[in-house]
Amino acid sequence: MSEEQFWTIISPLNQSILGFAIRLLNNKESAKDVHQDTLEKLWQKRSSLKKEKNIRAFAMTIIKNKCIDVIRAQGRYQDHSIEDIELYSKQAYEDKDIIEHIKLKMKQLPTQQQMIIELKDFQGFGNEEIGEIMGMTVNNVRVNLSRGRKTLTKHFKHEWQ
Amino acid sequence: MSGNRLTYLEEKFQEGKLSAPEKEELEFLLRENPENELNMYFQWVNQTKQETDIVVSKGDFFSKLSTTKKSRYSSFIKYAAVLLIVLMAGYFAAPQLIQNNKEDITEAEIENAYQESLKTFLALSSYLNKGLQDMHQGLDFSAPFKDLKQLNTTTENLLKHENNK
Repeated sequence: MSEEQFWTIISPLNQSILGFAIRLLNNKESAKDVHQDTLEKLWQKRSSLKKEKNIRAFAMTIIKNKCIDVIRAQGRYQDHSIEDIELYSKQAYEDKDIIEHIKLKMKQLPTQQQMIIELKDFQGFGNEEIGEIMGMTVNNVRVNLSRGRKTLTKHFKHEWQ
Repeated sequence: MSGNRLTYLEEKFQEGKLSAPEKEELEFLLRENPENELNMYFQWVNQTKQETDIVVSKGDFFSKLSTTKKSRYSSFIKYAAVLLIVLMAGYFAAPQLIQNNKEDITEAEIENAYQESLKTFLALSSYLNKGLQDMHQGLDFSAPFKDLKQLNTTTENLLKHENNK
């Protein structure tokens, strides 16, 4: 496979896999390194790439594993939610950007839930595909997705109304 | 009606059970109800996506790829050179060391070492015997202690015999 052919396959996925790493690692430089490593791995496997049924899911699995390695090395891997710290007073909620609040909440989620929300809401994968990428059952994906979304939106009803 | 439908879709969304067409429908209904807080969630997704979308050029990737290849190749050469030097040093130094060892140890020295070892054993045995005799004078020893004393006497006799050879 030539460089041109490889790039034709990979370029449509590039933005989403790099975006995945940036959002998960919260660091553009680390994310670029992980992205480059992922593309190199795909380049090494270029001869068998066309046989892959779902190249996007395959690429996402590689970058997901590399992100987990980096997160673990930084000691940031979260098995459980970080204790919910009330960052702002009730009044301050109204003034603060709600989106910023969701961003903070996202960082407090367990790493797996962050990844599942990322794959579902940012990347548009179905629950089955996410199960394959994450190596878990569809039901586990649904449970983690539900828990994550509920945590991110739980203040909607009672804090801002 | 749309209110009920929106609530139903919101609940399914929270449960993680929403299908792709249902998600599109939910987003459509949310646009019609801008006051609904769930709009914030989708705004967050869109805003974060925009902030983190970076385009990577083909040239960037392949230039880094060739750099990585070169650095890996040069690292390989460095390790190979170091290994070669170590092996060559070993090849030249090892026979000399073996030769030196052979020359250093003479027959007389081996015999001397053997005699010294015997003396050490004899001394050790006599100390044990003396200790046992002291204890024997004061106490009636149990069978294992008597056996040990016998063993020490036998050992001493054997060593004396060896020494007198």
